[in-house]
Amino acid sequence: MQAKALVTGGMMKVKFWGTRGSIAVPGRDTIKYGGNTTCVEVMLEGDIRVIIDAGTGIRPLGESLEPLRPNLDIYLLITHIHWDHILGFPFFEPVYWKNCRINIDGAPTCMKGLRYPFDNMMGDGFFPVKFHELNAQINYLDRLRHGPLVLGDTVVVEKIDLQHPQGGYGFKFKQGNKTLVFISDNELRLDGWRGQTVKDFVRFSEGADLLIHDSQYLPEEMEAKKGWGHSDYLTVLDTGIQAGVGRLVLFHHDPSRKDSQLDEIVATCKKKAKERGTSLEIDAAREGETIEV
Amino acid sequence: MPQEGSVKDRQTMEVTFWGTRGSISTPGRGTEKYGGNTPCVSVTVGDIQIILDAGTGIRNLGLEVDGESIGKEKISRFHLFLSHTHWDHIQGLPFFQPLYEPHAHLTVYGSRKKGRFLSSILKGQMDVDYFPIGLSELAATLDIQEISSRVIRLGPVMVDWEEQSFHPGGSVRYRLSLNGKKIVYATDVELDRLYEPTISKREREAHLKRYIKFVENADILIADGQYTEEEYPKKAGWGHTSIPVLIDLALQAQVRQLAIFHHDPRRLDAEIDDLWRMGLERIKAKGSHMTLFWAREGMTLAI
Amino acid sequence: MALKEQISASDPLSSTILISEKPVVEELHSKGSAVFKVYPGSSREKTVRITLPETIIGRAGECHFRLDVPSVSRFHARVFARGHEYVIEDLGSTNGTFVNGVQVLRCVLRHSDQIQLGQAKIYFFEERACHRKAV
Repeated sequence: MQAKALVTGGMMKVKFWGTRGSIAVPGRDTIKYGGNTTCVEVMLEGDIRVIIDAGTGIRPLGESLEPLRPNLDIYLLITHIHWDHILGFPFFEPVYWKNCRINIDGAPTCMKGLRYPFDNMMGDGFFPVKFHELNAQINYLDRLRHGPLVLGDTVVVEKIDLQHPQGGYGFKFKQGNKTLVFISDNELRLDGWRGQTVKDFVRFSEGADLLIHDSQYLPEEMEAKKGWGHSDYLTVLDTGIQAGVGRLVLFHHDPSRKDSQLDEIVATCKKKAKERGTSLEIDAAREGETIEV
Repeated sequence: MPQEGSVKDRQTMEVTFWGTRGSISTPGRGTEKYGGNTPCVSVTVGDIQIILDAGTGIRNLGLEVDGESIGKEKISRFHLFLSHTHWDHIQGLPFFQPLYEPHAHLTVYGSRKKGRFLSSILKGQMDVDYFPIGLSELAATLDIQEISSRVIRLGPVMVDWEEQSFHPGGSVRYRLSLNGKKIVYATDVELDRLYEPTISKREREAHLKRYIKFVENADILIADGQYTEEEYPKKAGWGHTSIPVLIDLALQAQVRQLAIFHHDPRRLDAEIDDLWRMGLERIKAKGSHMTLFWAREGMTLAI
Repeated sequence: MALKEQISASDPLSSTILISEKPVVEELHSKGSAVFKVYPGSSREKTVRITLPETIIGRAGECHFRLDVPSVSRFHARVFARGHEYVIEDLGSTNGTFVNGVQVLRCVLRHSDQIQLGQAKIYFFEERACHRKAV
């Protein structure tokens, strides 16, 4: 199925509901950039709404959708099933709405991961409601594994395999002439771990208007964290510059990273970008922020 | 700094709240005062470090323990008592810094699960599919004990426990005693179920008697008060208690201090402040001197 | 140089005065991120700005914030900064340190917390943007 061509990009907005990696971090040190774990909302032409990952941020996202109750038709794309990307799912209110349709795709293990908090974890069930008893209609699309996923008439989603211990997918959204790339939990390495190199990610992100990428670590932390599946902000910056993206947003902030430290990281990246003569816009993902692509 | 009396000894139990939120962690401005970390309470008696539950709050406890060690002997022996293995009560464990130190030793106590051993549940949480590190990869010594004896002695502290009725999958309440003082940790239980019409009078009285006997005269009762009276009917069966039922039972049990715990994720600070005002009025109306408060992160009480 | 403020024994601090938060908060000075207030909202209101990383409160003359009230111990409590927060810690006082009516050994302080030291009541206010709005 081919997407209709759009001359211009149409609406493409990204809202961050959770920007933190590994574990949610409440407290005063994370007020600016946020403490909820990964959840990003992408709003597209034709009222298409895509949620990426179900970290703790999906709970307030669900609350914000209350005015649409009970009719909701959304996509939920899962990058991979580490806890911090799935544990919010039972707290996403729309799963309890009768007329809600949730279309799921992403990493091949995504359905297993989304079921886990319900059925398995606690022996007799974490909730009185079991996964198959949820009121919403949950459909597993299983398209991205085999090829692009077309949303509505105008949006094409492609995936790239992540460099991450448990695998997973990064996503590219193309709508007319607008491109958004979201890659979290990815270790950019020069030595081609898992068969990919940084070049593959550069190619995937080439010319994107917005690249959101995992930048959990400082460069000096990478030695100890080799093989964990995350990147440092300098390598991410370099990748963004090489790919010629319009805007780079650093994502998946380490739990120990305070707001003031993230401010410094952003400042460092901006300085380095300027030194390299690029006009790349750089920021760190902030919970509650909406970016218009 | 001159100090009138010291509490750094084995005569006092220091209770600190590290996580007071139920179900799921809630970062953000609106929950700053009472906190967004999921359940974790520490009880320190001199050099004995007891931890109740391992919600996300245990991460901050681990950081504090690490920080405090500068210039003195690092605390390296920990006793973690789990009320149950619902996700919000164990999710912080992989982020407890001492687990990555070779000289640390953590004993985890929990109830024997019918057909599912405690260790396999904890292993499952750190299953390679869901978490980067496996349980066996931790540097510290970790031993997991399904408690069978009625009482566990840790130095001068006595820990006894009881299975609680009315929580999906079951849960355990713990009582810590030292020199006649008692701390009771009884979270994740649905006391409102005691008043269901389907329960016979005899059964209700038996359950109540058992509960009161365990918590009576506690110097502090830390208990689950997740719902308001209005909210509870929609949440019946979810395993948590409504605030008025908890307060009334605590009054009946002549508890000295009641710390309401396991705040609903939707409950913002301003609302908790309101509930507190109303709760104080309820107690005043009954002529009681019980101290009532909603537990908040960063509070340490000496018992 | 330590800031010294003194409340004399003739002031009966045992009565609680309801805080009218909006006018009080907007009167806060621009410097300093937190203050103690005594008798907030009344004609006897006194403001003590917290400027030190550690403030000792007590009856002794050496205290940074002196409360000359008999039920207050000589060195009753200390308030120290920790990251973006202030924490109060009892220094082994005779009559205890209470935050909002609960006796504590140590407690993170939040905007409009009432601190009771013996019979003396003081209030802790934070000057942060979110607290400038009316509650």
